[in-house]
Amino acid sequence: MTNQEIRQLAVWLKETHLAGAEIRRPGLHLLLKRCVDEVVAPIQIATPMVPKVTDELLLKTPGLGQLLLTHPQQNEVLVSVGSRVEQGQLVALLQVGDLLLPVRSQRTGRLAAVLTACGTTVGYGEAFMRLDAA
Amino acid sequence: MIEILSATALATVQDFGRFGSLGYGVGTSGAMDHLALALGNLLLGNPEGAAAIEIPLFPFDVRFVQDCAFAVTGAACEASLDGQPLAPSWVTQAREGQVLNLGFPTCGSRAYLCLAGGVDVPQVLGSRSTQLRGEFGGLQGRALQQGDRVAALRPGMSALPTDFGVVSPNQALALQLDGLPAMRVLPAAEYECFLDESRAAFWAGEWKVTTQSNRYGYRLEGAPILPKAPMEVRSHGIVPGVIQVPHGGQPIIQMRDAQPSGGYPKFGTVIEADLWRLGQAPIGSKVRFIECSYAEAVAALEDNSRYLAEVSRLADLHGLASR
Repeated sequence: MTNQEIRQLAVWLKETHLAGAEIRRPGLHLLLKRCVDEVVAPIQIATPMVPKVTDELLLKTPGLGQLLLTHPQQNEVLVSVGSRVEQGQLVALLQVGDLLLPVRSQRTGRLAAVLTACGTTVGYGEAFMRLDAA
Repeated sequence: MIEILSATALATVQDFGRFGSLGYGVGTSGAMDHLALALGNLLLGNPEGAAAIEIPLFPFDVRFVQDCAFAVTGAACEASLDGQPLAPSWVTQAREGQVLNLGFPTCGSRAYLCLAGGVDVPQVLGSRSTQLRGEFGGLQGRALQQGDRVAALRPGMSALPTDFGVVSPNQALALQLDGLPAMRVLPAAEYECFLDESRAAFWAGEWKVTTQSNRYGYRLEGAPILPKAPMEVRSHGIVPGVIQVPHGGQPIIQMRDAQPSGGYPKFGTVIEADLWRLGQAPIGSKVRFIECSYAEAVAALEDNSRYLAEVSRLADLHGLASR
């Protein structure tokens, strides 16, 4: 991989607001991380205000892709604001090309707010939903 | 191994089809939506054409007699495993004793239940598809009944990732005309023998899928297609997709269980690449037709293969990433 290709990757990451990328193949391990405030901001703002508690109730994206709140073949959102969310419940989908990867809630609670619009391209570890204690 | 709990009829074991036996008068059978079959198999790491259960009527319930990974593709149903909702076009690991319920579809008409390794029934003439007319293939040559047990070739806990899905062909390969699902059609031998107005009306009009539609053929309802002069055609070979026009002028499209010969004049042929769209058109719904050329028909087949190859590539990558 040439420097020019790595530069191009960095540009694409910036353009698509992705937090980073990792490429592994025989003889190559490339890790790119963007240190831009806007990517990390939602998490950092939450932490100092109410440490721990708020952060624990934020659901974060498990990887890169397009975040879908509704399955493309269904009409209703997977979970609506105000409803109860069980640990392990499917709350969103991450679309990567033609694949749909599950985004499941790590905890039980009540969905207080959706922080990301359906169809947004997200990076790893971005907060996209906030739960209240059930 | 799964056990069929529901009493709804007409679910059959189908793979890609039984090819090469038309000469014996044996039709191809096979999945009405072969893209859905291929997708379910790709999600499970099966060969694309492995046999699965085609489900045209709902609700449909099965119990897993042993652990087995499965995928449900095709029609988007209200599906659940032991009460936990399942997303459409999704692969899941089932545990022994769990019950899969497939409710009524919100989109499409046929669902495919694919099992890890494929459904294990004997091959007849090179295929596991149920040949209903000849009463062979599939499970004892018949539709599945309550209490039937169907085995998978690779039961147990899957070594491959489960719990992910795929964007359905409906979205990935969408084709609509004025908001209705559309299929591309190649004009056939007797096309020129029909009235100009009838031919124009065929392309411009909406066609309703009537209740006389099943795996053998779809009878459509719309503006009658009339010939310039009465036609007598000798019986000749026909294949799935052929649009025949009987005397009343209401066309019949031959589907997967079509007989291998017929004598009605042929107006056109729904291209192979679009037959799955018709397979998912529910009874009572309306469809449109788009005229296409041979080159376009071949290109459409290549689009389908590209989509499947891309899904296969991404599923393999996901498998590597999940190790």
